[in-house]
Amino acid sequence: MHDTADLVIEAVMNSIEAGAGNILVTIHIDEGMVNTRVEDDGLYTLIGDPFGEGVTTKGEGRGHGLSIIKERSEGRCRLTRGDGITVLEFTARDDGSFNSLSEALLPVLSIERDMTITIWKDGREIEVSRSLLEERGAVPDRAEGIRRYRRLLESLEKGDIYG
Amino acid sequence: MAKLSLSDLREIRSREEKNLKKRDIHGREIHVVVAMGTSGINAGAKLTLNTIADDVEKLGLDNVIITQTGSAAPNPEPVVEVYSSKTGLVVYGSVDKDAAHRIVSEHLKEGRILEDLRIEMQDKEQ
Repeated sequence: MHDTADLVIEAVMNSIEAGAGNILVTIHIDEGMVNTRVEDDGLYTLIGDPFGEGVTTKGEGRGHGLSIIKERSEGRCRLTRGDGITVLEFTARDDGSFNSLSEALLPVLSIERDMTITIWKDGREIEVSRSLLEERGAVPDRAEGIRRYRRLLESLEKGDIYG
Repeated sequence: MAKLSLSDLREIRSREEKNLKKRDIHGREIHVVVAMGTSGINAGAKLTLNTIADDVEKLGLDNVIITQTGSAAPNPEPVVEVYSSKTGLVVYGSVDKDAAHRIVSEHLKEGRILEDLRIEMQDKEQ
């Protein structure tokens, strides 16, 4: 069963599978809801309802990610395309899956892709990017990087340092 | 060009064999891949990935690199692949939190394959 943080992973994986080179994620957590916006410069070749079960350009057995986002967001989702940019937006309940940001974001930030994630949580804005992690030796794909990644995310959450 | 003696050749061979053993993904000896497709995420792959990352960090396993791949369906997910020059490619299925702990402490740290978790990988859906 997908939690709300899993929906963000689905959205980012969808961007990656569309061949995106640049991904911008904005997550706003407030009043029990999580609003997410994912922008990418990948290809968009879908025709019809992109949130339909099994609708995909990727072959048999795929195309479930967006339908799960639709289900978990209870239909509060949309996908738009303009000027070469695809934008996926959805709203889902805050189920606590973002309580630990480092755990929620590790799957997406360990992917080797130009990505920036901005999160509004507890009245504070946190920005973390793949380039920031690389700069600080904090890519979470090996022991030392994982250690630094956890510390960096904790510091960003506390407001000790800024991305 | 000077001729190489037999001992020179043996020395070169020995050196290159050592280098070959060390060569791997980004200089790491063990490569762990967690399948993070929709079916994997649905089965709890995020927890699996975080558990492996935590344990690798806590145990200071500097010879391990962790990456991700897409769906491993129809295999029992979460699926974790471990490759090392010592054990070759080993695929584990239904890797929950407890299984993830065991993979790190027994396979990644001790080099011991967990036969009870091992699966024969079926072709992934395209």
